[in-house]
Amino acid sequence: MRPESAATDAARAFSRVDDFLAAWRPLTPWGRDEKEAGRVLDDLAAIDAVLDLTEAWADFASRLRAGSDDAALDRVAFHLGRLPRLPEPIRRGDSPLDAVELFAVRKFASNYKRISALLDGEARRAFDFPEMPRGVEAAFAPLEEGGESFGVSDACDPRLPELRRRLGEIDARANRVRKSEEERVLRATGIDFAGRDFVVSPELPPLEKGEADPLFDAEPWDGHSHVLRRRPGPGEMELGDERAVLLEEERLVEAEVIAAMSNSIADSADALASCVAAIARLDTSRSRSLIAFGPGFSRPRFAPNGGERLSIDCGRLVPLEAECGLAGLKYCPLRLELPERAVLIFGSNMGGKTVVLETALFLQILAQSGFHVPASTFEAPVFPFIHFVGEAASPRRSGKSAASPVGGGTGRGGSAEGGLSGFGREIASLVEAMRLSTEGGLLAFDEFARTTSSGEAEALLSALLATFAARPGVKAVFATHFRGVARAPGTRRLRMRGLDREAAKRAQGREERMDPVARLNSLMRYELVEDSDEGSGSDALVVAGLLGLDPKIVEEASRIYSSALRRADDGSADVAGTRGGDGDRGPEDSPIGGKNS
Amino acid sequence: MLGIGFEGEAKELESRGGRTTRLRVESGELFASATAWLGGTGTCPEILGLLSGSGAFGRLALARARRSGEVVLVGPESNGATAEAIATMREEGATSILVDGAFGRLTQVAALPGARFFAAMIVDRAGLATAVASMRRLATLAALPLADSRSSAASMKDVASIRPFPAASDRTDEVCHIDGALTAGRVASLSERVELVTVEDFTKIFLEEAALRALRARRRLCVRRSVEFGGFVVALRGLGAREFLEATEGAVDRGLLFPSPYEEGGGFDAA
Repeated sequence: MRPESAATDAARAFSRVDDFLAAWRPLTPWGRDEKEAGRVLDDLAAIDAVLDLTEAWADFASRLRAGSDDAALDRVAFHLGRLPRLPEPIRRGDSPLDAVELFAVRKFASNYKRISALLDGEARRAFDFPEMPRGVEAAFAPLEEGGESFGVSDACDPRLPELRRRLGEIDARANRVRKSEEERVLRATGIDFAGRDFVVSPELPPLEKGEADPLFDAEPWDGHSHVLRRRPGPGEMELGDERAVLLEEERLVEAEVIAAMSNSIADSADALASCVAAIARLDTSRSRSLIAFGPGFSRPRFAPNGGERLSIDCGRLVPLEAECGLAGLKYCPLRLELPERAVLIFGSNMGGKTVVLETALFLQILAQSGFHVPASTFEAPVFPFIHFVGEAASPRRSGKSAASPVGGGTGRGGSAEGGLSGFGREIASLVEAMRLSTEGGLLAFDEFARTTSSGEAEALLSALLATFAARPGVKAVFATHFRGVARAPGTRRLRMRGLDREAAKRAQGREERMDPVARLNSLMRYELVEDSDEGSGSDALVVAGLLGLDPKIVEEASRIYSSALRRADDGSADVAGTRGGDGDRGPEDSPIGGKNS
Repeated sequence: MLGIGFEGEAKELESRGGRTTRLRVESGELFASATAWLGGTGTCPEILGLLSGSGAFGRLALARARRSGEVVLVGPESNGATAEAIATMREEGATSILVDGAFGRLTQVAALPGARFFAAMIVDRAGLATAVASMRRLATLAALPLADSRSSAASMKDVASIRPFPAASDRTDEVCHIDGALTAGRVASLSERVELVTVEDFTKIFLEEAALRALRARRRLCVRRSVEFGGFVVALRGLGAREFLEATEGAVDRGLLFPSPYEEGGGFDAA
């Protein structure tokens, strides 16, 4: 689990919330830090404050659009994108900020002021935008107004203009002397240096052959040529020395200027930190509103203390909805009312019960991350702990590992990892989840205990349901195939409506060119309904037929299944998975929208 | 002026007793350097931006010289950061940008639109044959025609350009677009029916001269992105200009050969 996060990595991975948040693109370093932290809050006031700010940005954007000043929004984004990270800490005294660090502060200050000027009074109040601190303003006052670059200008210290004038003079004199010397060499030897530090000459010039005052230093280049470097002429060395002295003086003055600027900024470090905080608020609110605000999104409503109702209307698992759209499959938003603490969701293969869990976790994590949610209504408690127990997140889900302090996923097929089988890991994850949810929590279980016998699994599920039903603040939702789970007070049983059998019957006889997955998708009813004890019968064999299994095999399997059911009803046999079950055992990847069901 | 990385890095610096290669800049010119090298340049630098990446010499910064002086070029190493540095220089008004880098960095430059490259080399008598072979190979590669994505025909373009091109999976029997390196193994695996082979740019071709000749004898080889080649700047060592020009005749276009600007004596024209 990430620090300061109520949701485990397993819950994040299963819910695909990070797939959705990949589109969240803050523009500043602090916004990106916020995204990277992945905080899932458990403090209602803090969540509300974040939501308020998102709405404050949206209001500001609306006001600008109403005034036909959309370009101002782009300008805010432009300046947000130019804000550099500030040096930390802002030092003073013996180890002041250096020129590059001062550049960062100036660039920040310049863009901050431009952003502040683009906000109206209401937005500045909402985001608590302070004025740029006086210490920072004073530090950069000698520099060109409004600029972003940094260099110690003449205006920074009265000694600098004179020093630099003298340096300029020396440079000009040095240039003149150099040219004059080069002309002298040219006249004497015919070699034109033309501003070059050295030349490669095929022969040593005559003056070099025994002259008392050679004009060159020469070293062999190859058997024919020499590298000739012109010796400084009269006055050149002195000018160089004089320049070095002035440069050192300039460096000392600049160091004083930089230290003074640094100290002035350090005096305003706290106020500058407030500016950074305001920018972070603005940036995260702006970027949140771009991905989760407006049509199709609503502000999550959180139950006051003690409220346990979870209510979702038209809730959308956005990554799956997008995948369905690309595949041309229908997507059904979720409607869910759960006042109870413990809930069982039955359903046939590919009926969508796993998606119910994914959607509920997706919306809850988004809401507690301070986002508006893709639902027409979302009401829930604020959970201190959000966790998923079930199959490990598959690679197509977010890249986040499913590993977590509570064991993460359980893997497939009971392969041993860390000395634990799939069932072992599931139980370890459950034990940790129970320990961490004593104050409450949203716990989602997908096909819990599916690798053990149905009788044992049903007994375990029955006990867990009763336990969670008695635990305040907990919402435990189990998606399962097992029908033999005992009813307990305070629990709820739902099922996916599943296959539209009438429509399926009509479809079976037809030679359709439709893709089998699309065909099945069109026949499934992804809705939650109250479950009766009779169960819904098996859809698995019909599903297998619709997906292209040889009709003869399906027919034979149906005959065997019906026979087993009759014997089970007679009490003459106990065929695992036939007691009013929803179909075969063990979840399979559903081709519908790439989801598990 | 921009370097890609720091030439020789710290190891070379150490071998030279801490002395760095300094380059003269004039007032108003932009250069990239490490923060540790900015202070002692005497150029009164104005810091314009921070570049991605950092090294042993601190963070990288882009600066404008406000006085002539000598600077140490240190630049980013990655393609993205180099492009970012060039974009920043252009924002600051630079119209011509000199990028100094080892030949192995050519891939980075090739990725930049509008780039032109020169190869600087020292040629001596012992290495003459090898140098001529290298020059012929480079000149051949740099002159590969630019593939025309619309018709699969190939045509020469006289300026560097970037064109969108189908992915490697989009191939027909006659055309093979190769992503990544073109090696002898890749050539051997080509179907007999392939007539046109395209690579991203010529730096992705890793074939010996003979293998390259053999490939081009049977099929057309094109690049999907070309980078203009300015020519070779050659410093001769123990070798006369006439001898060098005779050795390169027929191998390298004479118009691509330039003498070292530090050489006295008239250069290749006098030979």
